[in-house]
Amino acid sequence: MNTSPATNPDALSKYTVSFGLALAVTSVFNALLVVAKETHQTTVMAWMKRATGQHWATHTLFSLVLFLGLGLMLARTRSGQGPQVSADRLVKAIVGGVVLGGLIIFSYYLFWD
Amino acid sequence: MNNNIILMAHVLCGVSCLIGALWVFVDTVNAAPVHLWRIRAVSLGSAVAMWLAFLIAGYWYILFYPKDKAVILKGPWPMAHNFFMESKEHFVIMLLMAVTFLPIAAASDLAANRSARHVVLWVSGLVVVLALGADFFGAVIGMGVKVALLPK
Repeated sequence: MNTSPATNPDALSKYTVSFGLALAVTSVFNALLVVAKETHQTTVMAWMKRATGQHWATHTLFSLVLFLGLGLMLARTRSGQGPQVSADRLVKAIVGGVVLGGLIIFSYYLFWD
Repeated sequence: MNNNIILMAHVLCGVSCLIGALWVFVDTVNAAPVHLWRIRAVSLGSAVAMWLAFLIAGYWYILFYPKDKAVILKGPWPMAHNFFMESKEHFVIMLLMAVTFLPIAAASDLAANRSARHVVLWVSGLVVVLALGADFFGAVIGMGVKVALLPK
């Protein structure tokens, strides 16, 4: 499976794989940050409010910086070739990450809040 | 600016993102070299529309929503804030990232590359589902304000 778009026309580009994986990871991080700030009002939530003046703005900023930073960082791995993942695995990671993130957010506000 | 116009601009941009993602999905099913520029342009347009929807929503949420929130919480549908708004304001961050990823994935040669086509189909489908969810949640939040203001 050691392929790149130059040698295999069906291989995914390094940016597709890197930002796809970053999307999966950041979706779960985004949801866990919801739980962390809501369950730690005096520490995490208070700090996030102080950082930008609005906890949601800080939350968005953290998630976007992680998404872009992780995507760019992963694209530089393996001497600039980026990680190699099949399309099936990448789709499973993206859909799994987004569904898990969604379930954590919905469950938290539905059952625990 | 009237805050209702801001809110309508938010909905217009959000729905444009949804239609754009649906367009990308359908065009990618039948991807041919002659369609590639259109798929890339629409996926980029969908991302721009979502960023606009998000920035407008952020402005409105910070400046105007606290008044609506107080109205909702005193009305018969407090869940419109406690569940729907609280969830929406956080899951749309995933939507924003997914639609930002769409033009990155669509930059590949979708006519020749089956793997890239597979990824674009799934991600555009995911964007459509998330955008529909955001649309529905937004409608419930709006109804939460409306039912709270109806005469008893």
